[in-house]
Amino acid sequence: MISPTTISDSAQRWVTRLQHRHAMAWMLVPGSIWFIAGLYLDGWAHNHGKVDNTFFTPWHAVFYSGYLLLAGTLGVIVLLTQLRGLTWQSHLAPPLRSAIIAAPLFALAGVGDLWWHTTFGFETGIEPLLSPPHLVLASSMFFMVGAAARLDNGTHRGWHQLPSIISIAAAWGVVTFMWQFNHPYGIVWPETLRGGGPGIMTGIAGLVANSALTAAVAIILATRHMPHGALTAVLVVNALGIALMGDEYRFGWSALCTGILSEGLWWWWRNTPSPARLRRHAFVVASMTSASYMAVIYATTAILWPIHIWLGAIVLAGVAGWALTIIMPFTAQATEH
Amino acid sequence: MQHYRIISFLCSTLIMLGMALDGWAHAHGAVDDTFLTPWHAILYAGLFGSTLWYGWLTRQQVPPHRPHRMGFALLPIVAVAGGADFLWHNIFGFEVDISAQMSPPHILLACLIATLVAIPSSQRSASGSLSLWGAISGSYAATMMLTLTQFLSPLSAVYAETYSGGDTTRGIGVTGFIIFVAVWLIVLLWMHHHHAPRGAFLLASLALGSIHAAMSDDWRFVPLLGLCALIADIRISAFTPRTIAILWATTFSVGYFIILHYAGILMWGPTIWGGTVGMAIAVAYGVSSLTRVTPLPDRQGGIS
Repeated sequence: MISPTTISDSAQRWVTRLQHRHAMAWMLVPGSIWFIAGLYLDGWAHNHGKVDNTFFTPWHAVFYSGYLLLAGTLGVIVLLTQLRGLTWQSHLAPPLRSAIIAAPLFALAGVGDLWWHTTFGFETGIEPLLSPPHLVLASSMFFMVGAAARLDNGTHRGWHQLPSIISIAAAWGVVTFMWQFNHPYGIVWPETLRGGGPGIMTGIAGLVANSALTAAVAIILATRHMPHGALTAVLVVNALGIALMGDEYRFGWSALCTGILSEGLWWWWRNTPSPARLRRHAFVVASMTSASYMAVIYATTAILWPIHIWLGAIVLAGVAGWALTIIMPFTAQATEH
Repeated sequence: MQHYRIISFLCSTLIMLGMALDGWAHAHGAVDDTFLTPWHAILYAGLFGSTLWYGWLTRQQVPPHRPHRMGFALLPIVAVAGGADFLWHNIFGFEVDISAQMSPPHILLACLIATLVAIPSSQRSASGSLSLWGAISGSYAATMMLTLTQFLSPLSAVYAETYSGGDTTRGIGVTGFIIFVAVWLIVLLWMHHHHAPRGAFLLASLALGSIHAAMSDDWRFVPLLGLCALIADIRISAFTPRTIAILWATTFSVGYFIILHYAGILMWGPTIWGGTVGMAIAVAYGVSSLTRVTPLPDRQGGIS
C-alpha cells in the first residue's frame, strides 16, 4: 500500500484535485467514447460482411483498445485513491466501484464466451444478442461507460454536464445495441408485409419498447437539469449509431424531430406542477418517437400497416412511456448518490 | 367508510370480469356480429355503474374527492369512446385479429377502463399505505393493458414452444417476455413503495394469470405466478426494491422455462432462453432504478 507521506505536497494536491467527482467523470469520457465507438464499428462490420472467421480484425482492435483505455483509466483512479492513503472499496463513489468491478468482469465474460461457444456452438441469427456471456459483456460495459453519468450529483449545470450527457448516450448505446434483434430500425416492419401477423406483432413490440426506453432516457435527462439540446443530441447520436447497422440513416430525421419537439414542449410546460409535467413529458416523448418513425416511413416509402395498427401503436407507446413514471417517487429531496 | 371502499373495489372487479368474459367469448367464438351480448352487458354495466357510483360518492363528499370526481367525469368520456369506436368501424371497417386489439378507440377504451378500475387505489390509510382492495384495484390497470397486448404475453402466446417463423418468432417471444416482466415489475414495485399488505401481490398475480389462462386455455403458468408472488411478498426487511425485483424476475423467468421443459416443448436453445433470463434480470435492474428518489424539476426545468 502506498502511503500518503511517500508523495510530495504538490503531487498530493494534484491527486486531491483529480479525486473530485467532476474531474473523474471527465477522465472517463475518452475511454467511454472509444469503447462505444468500437462496439458500433464492430457491429457495422458484422452487419456488412467485413469480418472473416478470425478474432484479429481492425474493428476488434478498436473495440478492445477502447476497453483497455477505459479499464486503464479506472486503474489510474484506483491508484490515485491509494496515493491518498485511501481504499477504493470504501472511499470511492458507488458508481466508480461498480465500474471497477465491471472491468475485470468484462475480461472474465470473454473467457466465459469461449466456453459457451465450445459447449453450445457458435450463435446464429439473433442468438449473438441474447447469448448469456454476451449479456454479461454488455452489462459490464454498461456499468463502465455509464459511470460518469452516475457520478453526476447535480452540482454542475448546463454544458458542464457534458461528461454526464456523453455517458448517458454511451450507456443507452449499449442497451440499444443489444436490443437490435427487435429494434424498429432493424427490419422496418411497417413498410413490409413479410412475416404476416407475427411480423406486425414484432414491429409493434419493438416500437413500443424502444419508445418507452426513449422516454426513460428523456426522464433521466429532464430530472438532471440537462441543457437545451442535450436530449436531441443524445437521440440523434443513438439513432445514427443504430442506423449504421442497417444503413437506415433516414431515421436520424425522426430522432431530430422527436428531440426538438419534446424539448420545446418541456420548455413550454415549465409552469405545470412538476410530477404532472414529467408524466406528460414521458407520454409525449414516447408517442412522438413512434409518430416521427411512422412519418419518416410515410415520407420515404409507404406504411403498409392498417391505420388501426400504426395509430394504435403510437398511442400505446405513449401509454408505455407514461407508465414508467408511475413508480417514480417524486420528491423535493436531493437525488441519492 | 370501509363499505364504500369495498363497493368501489367490487365495481372495478365487475369491469374486469366483464372484460375477461368478453375476451374469453371472443377467443372461443362465443360472440356473434352483434353488440348485444351478455359479456358486453356485464362490461358496460360495470363501466357505467362505476362512473355513477363515483358520482354518488362525489355528491356525498366521500374522500378522496378528486379521484371520485374524476371517476364521475369519465361517464361522458366512456360514452364518447364507445361512439368513437362505432364511428371508427364505420369509416375504416371492422378490425380483425391484431387490428381489433390495436385500434385507437379500443386503446382509448382500454385506457379509460385502466383509469376507472384503478380509482380505489387512491384510498389510503391514515399512514398513507395501500389497502388490500386498493392494491388489487391498482394492479387491474396493468392487467387491462397486458390483456390488450396479450398477443405479446408469454402466458397466453407461448412463442418458446414454436420454431416456425425463425428469428421473427423468437424475437417477438423474447420481446413479449421482457415487456411482460417490465410491466408486472412496475406493479410489484408500486405495491412495495406504497406498503401494500402482504398477499396483495399474490392475489393480483393470480387474477392476471387466471384471466390470461381463461382466454388461452393454458393454466400452466398460474401456479408459477402465485409462487413467484409469494416469494416476492416475503419482503425480508434487508431487501431493497431492487433485490425484490431481481428475485421476482429470476424466479419467474427460470420457472417459466422449467415449466416449458417439463410440461411442454421448449424449442429455444440455451442461448435464447438463457439470454431471455439474463435480459429479464437486466430489466428488473433497470425498472427498479426508476424507484430511486427523483428530484422535482422546478419551474425553469431545474431541480428544486
